[in-house]
Amino acid sequence: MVHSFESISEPIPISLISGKYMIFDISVVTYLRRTHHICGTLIGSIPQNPQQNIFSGLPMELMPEEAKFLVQKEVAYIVDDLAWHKQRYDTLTGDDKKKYLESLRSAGLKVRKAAQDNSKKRSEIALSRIATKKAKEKSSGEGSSGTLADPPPNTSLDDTGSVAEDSTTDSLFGGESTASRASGTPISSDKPFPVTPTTSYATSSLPQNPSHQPDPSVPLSYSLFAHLHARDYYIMPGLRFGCDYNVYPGDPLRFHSHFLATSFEWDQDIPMLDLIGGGRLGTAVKKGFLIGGEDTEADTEGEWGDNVRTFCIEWGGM
Amino acid sequence: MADADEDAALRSSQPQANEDTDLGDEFQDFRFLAALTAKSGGQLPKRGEKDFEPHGTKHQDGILAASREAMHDVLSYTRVHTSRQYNRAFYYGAEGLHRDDAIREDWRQDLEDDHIVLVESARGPHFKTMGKTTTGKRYPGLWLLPEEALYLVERGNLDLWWPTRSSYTGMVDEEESDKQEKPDNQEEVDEGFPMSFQAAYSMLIGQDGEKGKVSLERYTVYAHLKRMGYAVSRAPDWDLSQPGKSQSHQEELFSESPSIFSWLFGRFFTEQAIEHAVYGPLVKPGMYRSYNSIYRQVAVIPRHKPSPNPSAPAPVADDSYRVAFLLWKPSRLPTFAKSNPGLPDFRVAITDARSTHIPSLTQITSLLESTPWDPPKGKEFEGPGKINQRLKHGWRNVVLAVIDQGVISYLRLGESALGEEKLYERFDGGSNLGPKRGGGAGRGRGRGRGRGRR
Repeated sequence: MVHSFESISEPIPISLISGKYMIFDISVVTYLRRTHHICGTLIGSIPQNPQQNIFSGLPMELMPEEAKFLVQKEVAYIVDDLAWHKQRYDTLTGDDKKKYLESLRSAGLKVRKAAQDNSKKRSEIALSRIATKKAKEKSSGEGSSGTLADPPPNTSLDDTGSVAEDSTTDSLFGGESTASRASGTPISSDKPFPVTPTTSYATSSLPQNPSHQPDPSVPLSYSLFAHLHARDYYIMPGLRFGCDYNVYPGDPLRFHSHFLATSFEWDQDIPMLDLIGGGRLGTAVKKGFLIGGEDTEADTEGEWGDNVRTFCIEWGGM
Repeated sequence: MADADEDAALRSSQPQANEDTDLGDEFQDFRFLAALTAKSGGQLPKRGEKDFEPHGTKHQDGILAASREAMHDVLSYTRVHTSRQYNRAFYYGAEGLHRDDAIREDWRQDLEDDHIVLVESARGPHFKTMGKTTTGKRYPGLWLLPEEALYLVERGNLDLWWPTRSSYTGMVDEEESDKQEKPDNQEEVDEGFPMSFQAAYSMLIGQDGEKGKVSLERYTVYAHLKRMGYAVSRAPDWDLSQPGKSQSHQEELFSESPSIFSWLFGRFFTEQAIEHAVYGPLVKPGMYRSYNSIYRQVAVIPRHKPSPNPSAPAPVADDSYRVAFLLWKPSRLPTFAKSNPGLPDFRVAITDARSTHIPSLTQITSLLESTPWDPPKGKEFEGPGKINQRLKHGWRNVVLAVIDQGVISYLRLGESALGEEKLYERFDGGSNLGPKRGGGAGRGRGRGRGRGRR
């Protein structure tokens, strides 16, 4: 399994659109997740299965904290996506434009070919299935009447699934599901399928950054974020449990969160009721309620978040 | 990627997907999942089935790798328009070729400023609830709002193009000269080029109030609701740069605006003019034959009384909280008409969890008063046993979507009035029905006492 994220070279462009930080390239998403423990939040629809909210798709929205962290580490830099696109699209003429249209054309052709192959394969499979079915019926009619040990006949669902899998391996664009979705009713037989590319620039060909973007402005809780992130925690937005951050011991894909983290200022009075509320909620969902703050007086040598102290509050259950 | 606790709720509240009536389409969805399962060795990046913590085993690492792999595979999909319902559209927003410069005036009649995407040929079920058709032209055009266009692009149902000056005229020629020699000159007409998904986001996402754009918060909520199957449209109060067109106190806007105190309490006193002496007991000594007359004298704490026409508007109309979207349930889609959608089932206001605090009384009042009067009426709200339902439903209600970096929570705000539920009125119910039936009153008394003691 060779994936393109191996070819990712830092720094990575982060799209800044109207004050939000977003990533559109799946390779970058995977790369950040594997290498830097940055998960972001996927906010888009999945075109293959668009009528559900259980799985979300691209783009990935980054918290300002995450964007700032990546910029500080010089893993990423920020691109004003609107300015970039305006400039690019206003000047996209001549050979550049031809090249762009040609690349889309060839992509569309490839998918169309895959679709055709696919439908051919499918009809072959369907034919062979009918044949085996007939043979089976024949044999079962002759011999024992279908014992339980017989493997159940493949449902059409499984079958088509494996076909789609086959076609992925040779289709660069992974368009297998739409390709087959169109089965039978392609637009016309010789035109390439129209393609909407996901990203505007390849991560490898970094877009020239017309103006330097200021560092993302982050809330006061950033030091707590940096502190936890430096200790290899994965961090997600905290709205689900009414805190600043949900803190995971590993990739949230696989692990439950351990802590509900809320940041306080060093000298801030914390209302007792906040502790009770957070502690009760945390205990009820089997997570620790974690509070933390940064000692701003301490000498600020070293990394961000080094002067943070954290406490975990749990219900005693006496 | 949420936790199991939340997922159960998520899944159960998921309305049936009604948008895609195409059966073939749905079948493909399953197929896709099956393909995914086969690919990642049976490991769907399923929510909920998670471990407590990493313990460094190869097995666990393998599952994680498979999950990431599956996610990568699903999301590396490129949108290809293979279906017969291919829709191409052109972007005429402020960032490119501006609509009002590029399109003749009589071809964009009746459009809002934000209709900036022109659909070339609107096919498919989505346009039943989306878009606006121009009038006054032989071949009316269908225009989309930024959130509608972006949602369709994201879904893979719309191919959005960056137009040139000739894009639209080319189209018009096509329409008006009825396919004369169309196939020949097709190569020469410069129709622009397709925009990427990323470009669509960068052009269509903006700040609230920016023309031809939608804020990411509003768009995320819009798309989330659309994916649940609702028909969603902009509410009249959408535009934050305009004063809210509040539904209930429009006429009274210019009447005198008393302080919040008299607004809240004034009505109470005019209604139940019970004079109390400056000193002395609240309940005047005397003979009482009903609880009613006693409780009425004891009620000194003013309570809110909802009214269909608040006699005075909120002191300072703070309408930063506004109804942004109107929602119709998926079950109403078969009879839904864009031109006459009927009363919406829900009204949604949107707020950002990071930049705002809990709304103030003024803000909530403004928000609620911008929604129509909707008292708890009907069979399911009648009778003494339904107090809770009545209070929950409220006399007006609105759904507030709180959004934090793409994570959305929905709250429901209702204008409930505890003052409308006079428990003491029930204590007298059986008093003149003889000693046997007096049980009702007795029970009522018992309850009252119990509460007082606690």
